[in-house]
Order: sequence, then structure tokens, then C-alpha cells
Amino acid sequence: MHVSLNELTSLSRRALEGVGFPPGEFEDAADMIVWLEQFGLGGTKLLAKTLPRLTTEQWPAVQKLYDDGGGCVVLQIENGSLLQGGSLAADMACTRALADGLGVVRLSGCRDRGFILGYLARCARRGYHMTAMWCVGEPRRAIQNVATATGHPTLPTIRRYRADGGGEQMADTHTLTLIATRDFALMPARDPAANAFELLEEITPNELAARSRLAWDQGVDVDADLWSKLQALAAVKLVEATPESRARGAGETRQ
Amino acid sequence: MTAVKRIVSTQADNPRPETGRVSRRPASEVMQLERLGSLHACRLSFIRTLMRKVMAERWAIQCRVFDLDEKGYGTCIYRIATPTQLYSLVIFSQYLDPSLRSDRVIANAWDCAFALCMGDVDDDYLDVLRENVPRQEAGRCDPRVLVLSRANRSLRNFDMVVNALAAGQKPDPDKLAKVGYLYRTTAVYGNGKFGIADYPRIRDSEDFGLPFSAQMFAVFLLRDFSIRQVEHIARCQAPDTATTLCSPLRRYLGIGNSTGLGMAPFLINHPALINQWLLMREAAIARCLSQTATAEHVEQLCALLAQAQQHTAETTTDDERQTQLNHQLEQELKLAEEWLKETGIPDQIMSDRLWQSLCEKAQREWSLEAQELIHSLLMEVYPEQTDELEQTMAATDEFDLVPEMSTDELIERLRRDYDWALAYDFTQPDETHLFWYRSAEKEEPRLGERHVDPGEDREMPLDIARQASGLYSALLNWETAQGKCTPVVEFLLANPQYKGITRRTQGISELAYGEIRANLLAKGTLPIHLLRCKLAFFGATKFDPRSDRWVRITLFQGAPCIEDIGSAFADDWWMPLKPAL
Repeated sequence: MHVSLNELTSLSRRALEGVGFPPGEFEDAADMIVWLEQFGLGGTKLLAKTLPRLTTEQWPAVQKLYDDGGGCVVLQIENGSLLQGGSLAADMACTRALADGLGVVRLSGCRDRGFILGYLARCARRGYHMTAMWCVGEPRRAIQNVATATGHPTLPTIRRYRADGGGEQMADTHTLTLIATRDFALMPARDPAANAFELLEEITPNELAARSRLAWDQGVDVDADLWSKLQALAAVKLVEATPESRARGAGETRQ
Repeated sequence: MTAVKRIVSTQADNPRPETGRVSRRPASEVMQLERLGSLHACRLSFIRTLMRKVMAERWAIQCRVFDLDEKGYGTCIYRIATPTQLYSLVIFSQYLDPSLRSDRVIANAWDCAFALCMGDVDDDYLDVLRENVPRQEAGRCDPRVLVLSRANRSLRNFDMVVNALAAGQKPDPDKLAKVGYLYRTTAVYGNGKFGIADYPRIRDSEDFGLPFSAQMFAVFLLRDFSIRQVEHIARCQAPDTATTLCSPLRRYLGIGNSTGLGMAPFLINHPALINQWLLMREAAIARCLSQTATAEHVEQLCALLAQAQQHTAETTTDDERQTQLNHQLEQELKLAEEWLKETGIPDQIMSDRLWQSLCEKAQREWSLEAQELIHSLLMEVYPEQTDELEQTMAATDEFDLVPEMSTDELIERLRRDYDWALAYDFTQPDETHLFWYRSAEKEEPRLGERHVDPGEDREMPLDIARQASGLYSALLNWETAQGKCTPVVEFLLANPQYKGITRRTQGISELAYGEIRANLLAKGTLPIHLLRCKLAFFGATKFDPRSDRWVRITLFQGAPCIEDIGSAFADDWWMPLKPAL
């Protein structure tokens, strides 16, 4: 199924609204999905994987487990999807960064963490330097994803590392760590001597911009089955037509 | 309450044009629903801007293929060369069973369907378009298509014009004054709909970067097709006697449009864009009011007022309310003309604020329609104060949350910017009498009566006033429970249902004209006001309400024809009068 980005945005928003996402959240979640798709990072494939759970779960409560009153906060999302309000963790990091120079928020019990890429650029255009880190795979041989977005209206740099600690490190594969600052000097930097982190992939802002242009010019491909499922979810919010609604509801007859 | 440390406010990058010594009107006045529903087209309307551009840049428009049978069915292709790009408009004209002809978006067949495309169209691509364009929503297009649309013939005019031309006669101008078009569009799709190009693809282009300009251009070319088609059919019917439309009648023919509730959600969901349109309009009005009137300007405005009276007198509608408004408008325009002639330019002080005096008098004594039409006419007197603002009519609706804002600050902003919303008592049934929903039939937005019509459990979130009111109460309760104010992000972690209206409230602070100040759920709400507001910015004239939720209008009536491109252009075609033949 070949679709325009606007079609994908519109249908994703309405489908998530149909699932029960509240106003504001269904737009943010859809925009994160579309952001990944627009930049060639597989947003709809990730969505296809998580959609069955999204449609059967209650909206997860986000609880604060720890707050040092300064720059450090730990939140718990009860194994919910990042799409279910997880972007607020990044907003929390920004808030603490503004107050204390550096904000570090760990969102534990969170799945679908890759979607956070779609929110980093929004934080960056508000003037924040952002770093997001999360590990996937087996805890003993995890891949660590690191994304950084610097504070101006541009695109993030995305890096993926193999976080292999010589078989001794147990990676936490259910937590997203977000670091925000308005001071570039406080951005975390990789130690060149840290051989345990092998750079697997790096996507530069230029590469992302080229992918984006392609998507705007040519549209994107979406799995037909996923598209049908999204249409069905969006249809939940549609009201069956009756002769009465056809005439009076749309104003064909004078009121 | 304890203050939270610092606030970073998102600054809109929209320009704030200088207005001179007169300030723009406040949003509390401009954004009243009934006033928005009284707007008229003006120099900043999109079809006016488009025509200035087409004429100034001398776009080369050629009808490359005109392959119609004797009944006018077939294919027509226009080739358009702008200074930077080539485009094609492809029109498919087909037989339509009269019983299927409907202006409603739920229709599935039309007299013609058309697409504006990038570049030339070869035979292979024409086959693809022929397979999909006539099916409209049921077809699929690709990003080479910029605009997808369809139109129905005007039953009142089409055959009348064909028969007159076939008999070698001129069509009756009185009938064209009643309905000033041969075709009426029922939807004009852009921005990625059904697979066509996303707006960002053309946003930075020289040709169609301004809002709705590609859509309006496609409609402009349909107007030329409609004239060619009736002349062709007449020629086929009576080759020996048929004649063509004379130039005054060609210009007097526009294109109709039929619009329903589908347009309403757009105005609510694009506050930044709506703000920009109204900000530029209000800036233009303020600039014009700042000007010192001369005798020549007074004479010019008097002539425009006289023209507007006649144009209004020639506007007919079956709608009783609009008919009364038109009569009143005509009388008030006459009073304005008389007042100006009597007042003249008595002294320097008076001439410095003559326009302000006129508008103050209009506000005291005359209808909203008269007030707003006088504003539009003043812009005609001062094009040099107005036209440059057309370049800043675009805006992007991207609001970011300001998570660090304190709940105290958010409460203050609600009191300041949504005082009108907080004044409603939503415990009163009349304030929530209506609800908006999307029908399963082509997802058409409709209005239902609460507790009567099905669907209130699937209500569309167009209830901005009610949401703002709910947020206000929730914030007060939150601060009471917390015993202090907090950053907004803490409130939203516990209350995610308020994220949308929170972000909107934060963003709207920078957008004075972004919010329509009305409770759209209230009993007696007239949604047609929303439609008219947007259509006036398109450049619509001759508003003909078919009910309180559905309106027909005319576009491009009086505009130059494509054969006029390259000739002198006075840009005075708005509000055309019936040709005296």
C-alpha cells in the first residue's frame, strides 16, 4: 500500500483515537510513528508489532518511583508502550534540565522504546540537547541504541552500539534513559577508550534529511494488512448512517 | 502557591506586520462566530492572490487535448507553463445519470472529475489517471497529482447556455446573475488525500506555496473547460447556427462550489493557520484605517460602495435569513455612500481619521455584513497597504508542549485567553445540546442532537470551550490536592486526558486570532458561519445557504479568462456586475 505521509498521519491518529488514546496523546503517538516512517526507521513495522497489545490494554498509569527533587527522576510505566504517554518522560527531563541544568529520567517497564526517536526532535526545537539510550536483545549481549538531538530545529544523530561488557554486563532491556540539558557542555560523550561499546550504525542528520525529502516526494509503503487494521480501528469512532443523519445531520434539509 | 523557577515560552515565528497608528482589532471582537460568518472576500483572498500571480507572471496555459464527443463527454488536457515548472490539468467528462447527481460528499459519480499534475502527462499515465481520477475517494493517485476534484453541471444553467448558443443567441444574463456558473465543484482535495502529493512537497515552490493556491488554480481551469465544453456541444448540435460566448459573458461565468460541514473541523484543527489569515486581514484593515483620506480616495470608495450595492442586489438566494441580510446590506451600503458624500473632506483632522469615523459609524449603526464589507472595500482603495501581506498567509500548525510551565501560569492563561469559554455553564443542557460526529458514510462530519441522535459516545473533539472549561476545573482541583502549583508535566502524568487542550492553551497565547470564540455545542449554533469564514478567504461571492449547514457559493466570477493573460490587468474584477448586452 503506497500512501502519502498526510494519509499515514491522519489514519494513525484516528486509529489510536479509536483505540482509546486521549486527545493530545493520540496525536503525539501517531506523530512518533510517522516520524520514524518518514525518516526510514520503520515506524509502521514497529507499530504492526505492538498494535495487537495496544488494542487490548488499558492505558497504563505512570508512577514516580524516585525523585531527588533535582535533576533525577525514575518513572514506572507498568510494561506499557512508550506510545502510551511515554513522551512525557522526555518532557519531564526537559523540565528538570531547565530547573537544574541537567535532567535525567529513567522510564522503567517500558516497551516500544524506539518510538522515542520521534519525540527527540520536538524537544530539540524547544532548545534542548537530548540523549536517549535503551538496550534491546539478550541482556548479556544487548544492542544499545543511543540517539542524540541537539537544541535547534534540526534532526538527531542516531547511533547504535553493541553494549557488550565482555559477557559480564547485564543490560536492562526494559528501561529508557533520557538525558536533557540546555548546556551543550553537559551532553554525555562516549569515552574513546571504552572498547566495550562497538559502533554498529550511525545515521547523520544529512542522511535523515535525504530520507525525509524522499518520503515527502514519493510517499511511503505501508503493509496492506496493517493499513486495513488501522482503518478498522479508526472506524470505531464512525457513526452508522441513517436516513435521518444523512438528511438532518448534514443539513440537507432546513433546520 | 509556590512559583516554579523558569518558563521558556515558545515564540511563534509568524510575522507581526506593522499597522501604523491604528491598532488591530481585539480578538474578542474579531473572533466572534457571527462576525466570522459575515466576512466577505477581499484582496487577500486566495483567488485574488492567484490571479495577480498568474497575470503578472503571464502563465502560459494551453488546451493541448480537447477530445470530446458531441455530447461533451471525453478527455481534456491543459498544459501550464509557469516561470519555473510545467503542470497538466486532466479533465474526464462523462455521462451522469441525473438521478445520481448530488452535491453531497457521499455521492459516488459526477459529471466530470479532474486532476492537476506535475509535468506533462503521457499516454500511459493518462490511462492510470483515467482509471482512478473519476473514482475520486475510491481511487488511488500518486504524488505527481497535486489536486484531485470533481464537479457537477448546474442544472439551471448548463442546458440553457448550450441551447442559446446553438440557436446563435446570447444566454440570458439575468439567469447567469442568479447562478453564475456552469459547473459546481463538490470537493477539491489537496495535501496527500488518496495518495496525492503532500502539501510540504509544494510548500516551498514558487507557484503553489501559498495556502490552497493549487486547489484554486485547478478550479480556475475548470472554468475555462466549462466554457469550451458548452461552446463545443452547441457547435455539434447546430453547426450552422451556433455561436460562442461573448467576452463579457465569459468573464461573468465563474465556478460554483457546494460546501457542507466537512469544512468546519478544519477551522478548529488549524488554529495557527486561521490566526495567520485573520492576522493579515486585520493588519490590512488597520493599515487602511491609518491612511489620510483624499477627495480621490473618497470618490473611489463611493464608486466601490455603489458597485457593491448593485452586486448585492444581483445576488439571489432562497434562504430567507440571507435574503434579509442582503437587503439590509444593500441599504446600509447606500447609507455609507451618502454619508461619505455628505462628509467629504472637511478639514485635515477629519481626513486623517475619516475611515475610522466611517467604521465607527458602521459599528454603531449597521450590520456585521456591512462592517466587514466596508473593510474589504477599503483594502481596494489601498492595494499598496494590503497586497504584500498575501505572502505571509501560510503557517504551520505545530504546537509543542511547554512542560515546565507552572499550573499557576496555565490557569492564568486560561483566565486571560479563554475567559469566553469559562463563561459557559456546561451543566446547562442547552450548552451541550449538539455534538459533532463523523459518519460512516465517507467519514462526513455531521451534527447530532444529544440524547436524540446516535453517536454521542463517538463525539469529535471540536468542543474547545468545554475542554478549556474542564481543564480549568481540573487544574484548580490539582493544586488543591497538591497544596502547591507544579510544572504542567506533573499534572499531565496524572491527567493525560488534558494533554491536547493544555498544549493548545499554551500555543494559543501566541496566536490572538487562532480560536473561534464560540461554544460549538450550544443550541442554536449556526455552523454555516464557520463555512462562510473559510470560503470568504477563498474568495467566494454570492453566498447561497441551502440550510444552516450547507452553502453554495461562486468563485472566479468576473475574473480574467485564460485568453486575457498577457493583456493589461486592472485587478478590479471582484464583485462583478451583470453585463449589459
